[in-house]
Amino acid sequence: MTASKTIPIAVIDYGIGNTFSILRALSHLGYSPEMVQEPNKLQKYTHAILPGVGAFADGIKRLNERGWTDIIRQWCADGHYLMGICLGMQMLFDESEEFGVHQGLGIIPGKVKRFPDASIMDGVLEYKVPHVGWSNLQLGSNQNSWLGGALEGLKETDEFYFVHSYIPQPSNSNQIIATTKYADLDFCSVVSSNNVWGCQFHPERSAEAGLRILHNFCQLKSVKATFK
Amino acid sequence: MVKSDRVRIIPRLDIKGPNLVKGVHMEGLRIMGEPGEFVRYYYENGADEIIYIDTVASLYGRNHLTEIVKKAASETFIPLTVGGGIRTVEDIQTLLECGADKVAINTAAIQDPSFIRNAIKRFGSQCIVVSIHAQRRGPNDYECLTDNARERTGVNVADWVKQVVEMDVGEILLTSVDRDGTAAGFDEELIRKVAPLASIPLIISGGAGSPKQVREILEIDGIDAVAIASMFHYHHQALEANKLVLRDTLVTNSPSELKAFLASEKVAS
Repeated sequence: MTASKTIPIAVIDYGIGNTFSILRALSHLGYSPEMVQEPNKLQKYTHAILPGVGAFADGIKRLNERGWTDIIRQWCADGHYLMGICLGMQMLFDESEEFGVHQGLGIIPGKVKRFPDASIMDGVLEYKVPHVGWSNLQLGSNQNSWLGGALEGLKETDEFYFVHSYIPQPSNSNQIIATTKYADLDFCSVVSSNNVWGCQFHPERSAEAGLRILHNFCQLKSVKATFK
Repeated sequence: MVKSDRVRIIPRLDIKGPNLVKGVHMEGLRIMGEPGEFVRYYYENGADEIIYIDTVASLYGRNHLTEIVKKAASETFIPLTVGGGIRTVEDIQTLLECGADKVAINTAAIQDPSFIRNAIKRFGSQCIVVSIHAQRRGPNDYECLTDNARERTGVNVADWVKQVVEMDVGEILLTSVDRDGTAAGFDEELIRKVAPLASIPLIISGGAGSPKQVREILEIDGIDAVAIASMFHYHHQALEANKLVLRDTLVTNSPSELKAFLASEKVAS
């Protein structure tokens, strides 16, 4: 946690999502976040955040139309650090079934599916969709994956703010860094494939524990990412 | 029966001009202080979210909140919901650009439900909260009020809730005008009527005067969050002034103390 904070952090601006709180959170941590509108400027950066709220199809369409898709893929393949947040995380996968099947960035193998329909028990819904609220993280199948990564130093009792109706399902269980329980359902809440990270919750809206994740991510260096 | 996983505890700040205010039955607004100072305290003491409502905006069709929201969003990293006088998608855009995560809409929603549908299309369900001010008319009969509870609408609350759910709104903020600011406890009849209809997240508001009342109302299934004003505001004010000048009915707590109490009473919050 002693590395320099002066590195600029790119916040990918593709005309969707509320970027104000991500910018403020990064500034609060002492970083220099910069909104990046032009894909060819991404090369300047070692770390980038892919934010996103709203519908999958709309998000991926905007990324495609503005020429981000191939550039983000290549930039990640070159070993740079990307964190997708909420819809930004979901778009890292191969496809989503939100309002029809739509192709994602395909950086992390897997699909995005809607929460299963809840059953009604004794006149009360088993759970509500969207899932809105604070939940904790549990270790994924790779027990060491919190060490040296974006979740370094966090506890399983720390809580994070979620708001979503769809859940990612990574094909490779080793890439599930953390799961979260909603009602009786466990879903992947943090995913990572080498230098690419995704959080289903909003770290920028999850108080001190969330800020810690953003800070950890911004401090990631290639040597740290070799744990997988 | 599975209840909501964890009930959110949300300080609610009614704003008039630059001030945090609090009334009774949404009237007789009394100045409580500078909102930023209260919000900092709530952020540091366990608040899950913050709700801001501009109490006069819908009367004058403008919004004083943007500066207050900007400031709060720069130093508190929890979700912010902002309401009061929102009439257009541009109003929503402006508030989101100031750092709001969600907007609460009452008057314009009832006057023109298609506005809500358009807002959802543009910003997503997760962003749109429909705020309902309910006033009791008779046994099991509640009417929606608009313009910060100054205007009657003739719209039945249960009917409106059903319509709101069908529109795929993100959340409902249900305020009892009869209990607002009274510390007399939540309107159980109202909440029992609405909760089974709310297949989307439901925030209840109006009447919280003690942690015990909060625990008791959470025995009703289908409540996802509790918005609290007086109980938290008077607590903070008393701490600041180092004295307690309160009505007998009001027992104050901070958000984290309330959450600890609920946990000790085995309520999943």
